[in-house]
Amino acid sequence: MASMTSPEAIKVRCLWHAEDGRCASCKARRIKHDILGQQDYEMCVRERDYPACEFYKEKPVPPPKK
Amino acid sequence: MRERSKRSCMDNEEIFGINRELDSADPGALLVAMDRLESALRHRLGDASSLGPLTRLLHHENAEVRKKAIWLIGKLAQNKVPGEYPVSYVLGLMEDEDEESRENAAWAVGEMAALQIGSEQEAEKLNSLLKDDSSQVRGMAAWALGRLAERASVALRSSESLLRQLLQDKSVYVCKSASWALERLEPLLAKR
Repeated sequence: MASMTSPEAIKVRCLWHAEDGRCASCKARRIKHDILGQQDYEMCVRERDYPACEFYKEKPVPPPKK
Repeated sequence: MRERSKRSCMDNEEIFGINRELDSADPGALLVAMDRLESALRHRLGDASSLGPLTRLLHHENAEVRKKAIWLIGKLAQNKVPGEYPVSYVLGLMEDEDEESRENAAWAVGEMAALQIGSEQEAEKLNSLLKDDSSQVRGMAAWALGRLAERASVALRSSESLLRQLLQDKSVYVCKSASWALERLEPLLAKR
């Protein structure tokens, strides 16, 4: 996949990256399984997966509590 | 056995409650209900009773609600929940101004194909998404066309030529999706 993610953005956690390391994006898992042939893709590895993932979405920072 | 039955009863009650909240006019309650349904579906709970309320939400004025509703319909299909899926409304959403809603609609069609839901009408609509400005949408539409061919035996000659053009797309994701779809369309078209 073509990288749409800048090196700076890789530092920011992906919205779909669950606390236990799994990818929570059903669409991303489907595409990685079908199109890229990653038969057992479930765990997202930041260094490996962030740069080339079309489904990477920056996790929004919650506004500070007043 | 009794425990399982009790659990199932509780699940049904929970889904019933969520469905009622999906009809809420309060946007806050609505989004909370959609999050609850998402959580249930991720645990492979839920049934076709949510399709009605979700279909009504496909017309919601808030794009966040529309994109979440179509995602939930796609997730129901991915969980292989049988039911009356709102195909015409899903196709309508492929013209939505919101990019992610269009992408989710294509994804939902691809997931519905596994339930043998799919016709040339869906394929024609997906053809138009192959020219979308967004690479996310083009890639997902190409994948959905491959799924229609593979799971519902639906393939159009017009899709074949459009997918061939996408083999030169600037996005590698789109190229790979188009290639994957062509591998599934071509054998089907060759038999005709």
